[in-house]
Amino acid sequence: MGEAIFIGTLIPLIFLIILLKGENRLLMVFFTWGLLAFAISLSVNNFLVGNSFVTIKELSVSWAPVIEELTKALPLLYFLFTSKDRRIPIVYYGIAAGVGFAIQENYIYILQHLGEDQSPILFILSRCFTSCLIHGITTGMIGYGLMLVRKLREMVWPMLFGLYTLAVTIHALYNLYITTHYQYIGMIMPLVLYLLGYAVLKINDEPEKELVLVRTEMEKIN
Amino acid sequence: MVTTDLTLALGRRKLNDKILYSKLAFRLSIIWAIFYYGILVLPISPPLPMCTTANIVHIGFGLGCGSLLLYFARVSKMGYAILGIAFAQFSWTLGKLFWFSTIALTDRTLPYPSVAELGFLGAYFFLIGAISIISKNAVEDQKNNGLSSFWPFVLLVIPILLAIKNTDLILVNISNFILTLAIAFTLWRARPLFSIARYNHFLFGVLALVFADLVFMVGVIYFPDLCTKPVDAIYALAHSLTAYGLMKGGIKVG
Repeated sequence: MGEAIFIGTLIPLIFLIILLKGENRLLMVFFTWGLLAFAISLSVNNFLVGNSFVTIKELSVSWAPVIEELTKALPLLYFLFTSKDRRIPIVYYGIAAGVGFAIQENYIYILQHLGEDQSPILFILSRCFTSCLIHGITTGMIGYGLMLVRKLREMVWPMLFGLYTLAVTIHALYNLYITTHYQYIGMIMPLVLYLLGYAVLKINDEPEKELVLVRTEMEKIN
Repeated sequence: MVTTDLTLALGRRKLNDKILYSKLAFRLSIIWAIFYYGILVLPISPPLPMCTTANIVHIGFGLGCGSLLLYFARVSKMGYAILGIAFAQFSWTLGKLFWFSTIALTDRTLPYPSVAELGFLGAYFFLIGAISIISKNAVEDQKNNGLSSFWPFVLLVIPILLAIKNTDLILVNISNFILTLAIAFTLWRARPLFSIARYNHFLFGVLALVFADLVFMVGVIYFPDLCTKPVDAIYALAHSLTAYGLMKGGIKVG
């Protein structure tokens, strides 16, 4: 069933991608990659559990964040190797990949709740405000960092690896909290990070006057 | 009526406040270190569970100093470099938070290496990038004095010796080697700054972090029961010294 939903979503999206152009096409490519990234991550995670390398309980706070963040962020390297345009808002492509991943993951969780009497709407709503946001934010964070690092044009790889480890740590922390008695921390975390991200992007769009004033003042101090 | 003079005065006050906060954090971390080592050495029973308190203090200092650096990054000309240092502090703190949360919230002990190590390692990768930018701006002509300039890589002897003694701990040995390599590379990139007085505090902060991590690396293999006890107070000191040193040194260059 999961495979059917995956193929049923993927193929129409490919047709759409063929028709689209420019930034729209790229955004949809990243979104579609998110679906693929989920399929790859699921296979690797199943392999690790199936071969008794880790238990399911350990997986969510050990290998799963490492694998999932890697597969989601992998196509962002495209901007490092090919694109010369340094104004591209890579952050949005990162978020698109993360959201695509989360949507495909939601399908799998819905399938697991199919036989139950209760409606899965409440469950899926809670996932939309938590897991989906975390997946989007962590990959978006790597994208945002990549955007900044590209402007510097040096020490790109160490910074990129730093961003990746940061994303993995945040993801693992979320997985840890959501599976313990302190679930509410895990539930609040994505929303707080989303609001922080929103604030950062907003500040970037409109540089504050205060900033300019303080800089002028610093020059006076010197 | 809000005048330009008033806004400028407020901006100046805000910036000076932030530097004062970082100085305050540095002083508090010294008091904490004296208190911590005092309790550890003197034959008195601690008023609090020391390991838990130390972890909470680390996380508090890491988040606080990282936030101060974030503000400073917005107003400094070296914004990207300072942002990198702030991210280094956040990465380290989140690694610590993961480590602490796993032990506190679950009954499991955390394996070594774990995701927390990725957070600690990530901190050095951010430091490499940020220090490279600071060095480039501070010293125009960066000379390479032959082989002697590679002195930081001598540190690699530590994980190699540990690996020879403990050949069965493959993952631990790999993790130790990568962490030490990142530390050595960080120090190698920081070489030009060692001769600049205004970065002394900052470099002492970085060196304190390096020292604590190397002691932990050896300790986790030979004295696993001690946990991070011998270096617990140094982490808070390292964070506050890095932030204070950078803000103090950074304001002179804008």
